[in-house]
Amino acid sequence: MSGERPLDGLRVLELADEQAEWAGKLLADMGADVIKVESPGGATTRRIGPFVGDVPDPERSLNFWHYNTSKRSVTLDLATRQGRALWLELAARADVVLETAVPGALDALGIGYEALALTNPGLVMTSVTPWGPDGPYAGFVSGDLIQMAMSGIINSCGYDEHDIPPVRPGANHSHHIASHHAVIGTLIALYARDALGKGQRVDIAVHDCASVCVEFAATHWFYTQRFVERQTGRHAYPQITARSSFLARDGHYASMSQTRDERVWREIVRWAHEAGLGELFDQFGDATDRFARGSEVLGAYEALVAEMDSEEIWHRGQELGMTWAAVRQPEDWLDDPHAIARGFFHPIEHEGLAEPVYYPGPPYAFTAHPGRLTRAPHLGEHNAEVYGALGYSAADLTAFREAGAI
Amino acid sequence: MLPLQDVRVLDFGWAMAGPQCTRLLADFGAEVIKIESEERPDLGRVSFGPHPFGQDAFGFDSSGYFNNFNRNKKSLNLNMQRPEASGVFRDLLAVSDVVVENYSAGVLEKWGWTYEMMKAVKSDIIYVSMAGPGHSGPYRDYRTFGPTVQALSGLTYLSGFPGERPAGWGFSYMDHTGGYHAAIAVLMALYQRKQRGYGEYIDLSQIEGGITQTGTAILDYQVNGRPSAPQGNRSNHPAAAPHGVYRCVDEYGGRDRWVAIACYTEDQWAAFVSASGSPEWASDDRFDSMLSRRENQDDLDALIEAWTRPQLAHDVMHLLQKAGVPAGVVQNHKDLTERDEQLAHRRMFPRVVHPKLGEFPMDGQPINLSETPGGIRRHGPLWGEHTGSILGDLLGYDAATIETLAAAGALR
Repeated sequence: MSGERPLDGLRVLELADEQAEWAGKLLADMGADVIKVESPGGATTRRIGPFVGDVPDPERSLNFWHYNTSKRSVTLDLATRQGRALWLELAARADVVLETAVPGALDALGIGYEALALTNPGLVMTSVTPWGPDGPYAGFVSGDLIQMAMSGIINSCGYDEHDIPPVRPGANHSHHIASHHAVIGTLIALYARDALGKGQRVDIAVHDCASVCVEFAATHWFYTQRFVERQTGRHAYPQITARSSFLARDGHYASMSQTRDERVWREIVRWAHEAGLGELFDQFGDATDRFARGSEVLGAYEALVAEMDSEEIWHRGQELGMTWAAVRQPEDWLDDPHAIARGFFHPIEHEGLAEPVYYPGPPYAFTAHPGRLTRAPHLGEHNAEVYGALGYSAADLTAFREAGAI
Repeated sequence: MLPLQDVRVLDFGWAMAGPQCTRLLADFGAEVIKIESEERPDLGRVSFGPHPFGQDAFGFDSSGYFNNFNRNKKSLNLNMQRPEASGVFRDLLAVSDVVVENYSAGVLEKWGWTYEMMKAVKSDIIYVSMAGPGHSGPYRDYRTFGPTVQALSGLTYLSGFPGERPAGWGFSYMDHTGGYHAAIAVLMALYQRKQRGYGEYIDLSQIEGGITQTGTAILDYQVNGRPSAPQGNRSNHPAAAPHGVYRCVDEYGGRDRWVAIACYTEDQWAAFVSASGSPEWASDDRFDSMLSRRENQDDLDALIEAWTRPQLAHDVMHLLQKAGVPAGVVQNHKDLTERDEQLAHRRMFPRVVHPKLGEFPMDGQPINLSETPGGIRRHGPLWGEHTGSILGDLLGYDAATIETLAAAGALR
């Protein structure tokens, strides 16, 4: 293993809030040099908790830590002339600018795509906005809850009982969806740059992206004008389907489904006998009988799962080739042998913490040139390094600082 | 020009995660060749509906779902379980850039193909496998579909009201997301190949793709000892109140309708109070700061819902948005396709003609490139539609060779 990473050499300038920080992180973890441009007071996402010890502080945001691994940070006040000049210099050396400014705001300051492309025609500028640069809702205020509602996603998520409100799956997923599209668009534009002979703009609206991340809800409407109905812990669907999640002995839920496979059914019956529930299961006949008496079978499942652990349902189900699962909590993976064997978590040291913190790794294991995570930057941690590389001295930086530019 | 026009992808994608990946590539011009056989047809063709004219109306060409996720692609009938298919696959590999598959671990190996063997044919091949647990580790043989991945990764647990059963996701979110991750991996590997000349084997695990999106909760657990927990529709981070989904007047034949409202700042709260007619309760001590509103959210939510309940969801959204308050209808697909003015402005549901099904809307392509736009050029491929042109034109097989393959049963 060479230690090289897939995106080594790619230079990205990020001016992004929670809508696209995830995009910058995905690039940075795979080797891109992502310079995060923050206002002198710090990116707004440094104020989102939870915080270390629940003490709010721009350097203690776990939200910021997670979404900004492997990046460098410089401070820059775009409201100052010197700050804008530094921005132009940084952008002149970048392959990509990733930004979430209000549409038109950078152009109004004379530092938008037109200005940057003059000196850097190869630049790819990826803009992530809530609704797109123009249109009837372009001025709407946003947020993850609003996006998840407007996309149709929340309409599919919730409970069998429709007096319980539909649910926003936690958390921040509309921004993940938009960020995934932003990375894809950026990489396609980079791929096309050689043949095209120049860079281009990539326009990503959170609303567009989330509105095509709804699976069946779309096609049932497109083809048959049917709505999907939200159902507890399973697919929203035009018809009501069989319940599939049950409370296990360990207090966690597990999923289990009906089967026509007699080999699998005999095994379930064997589990039931082990659990002292043999009589309950022996009353059922072949698959035809079991599906005719579906709700009774599900009632029996419920009794059986209550006598087993959720992990046991999962592993023993998988031995039978069934796609059953335990409803795990994310942290359950920290000491899981599979995650450990795959090296999925990356330990990162933090000043002031005795133990390294284990971060989930990239969502794709490049087997020869894997990603690598480093700690999220302190505010302005790389000012001297980054501005130094532009040729500025320590005295220059002091002057910038006194002028409020950085 | 189409930006990925010189990229050829051999696509064993089926169901959704694989097709979502290659849909993104095909929309931008990659030549995506779906390899399908009667023994292993894409589930999207057979099990996943809707089939607007019946499941078997047009054989394997009956599914609207398949059409939506496979537009712009080609279909090659090649039965990899036949020994004769191996030579065809070798010839395809030699002229291809990428192989994508989302089978459970071991399927390609069973057909006699590993990454090392592909690499021996095409030294810079990019191979992405995307099994739920990945291709290594103790669970490598476990089988998953979207809900399994969501349950295992923690996403299901984090969706629901505290103390209630997990509500989870009402669709295979991780099939979409696994597809996004695989497309990102392909494009990163193409970047790497262009810079340094080599290919890559990418062992993508969809479960890991789910876990990594819960990173903040995993950090909170380690650093603060706080177990992860579902929040209903509330938001601790960022702190917000109100932050909920509120019932409105039923519409569309008595369907329940809801509007989402969030106030992240004092200004937004003040704007909400004013837009809702400055009700007396809003000046109550219980609601005079973010902290107190968050402490009294049950009361707050009940009072807000009493205000929204007699109103139309769209009216509430427009009233509040006009005042600068984050608000949005919990839209269904009638809303998305017929009432959402922004999606109409962005042309997000283009209509596409399919030779058998007819003309229907599709999910648009949400990535807008200014100079080399992608888009939908063609319907999903008919069953085996391109078998002849791929074998004849691309691989240069003569009629006798194709006939021999067909006679051996390798082409169905």
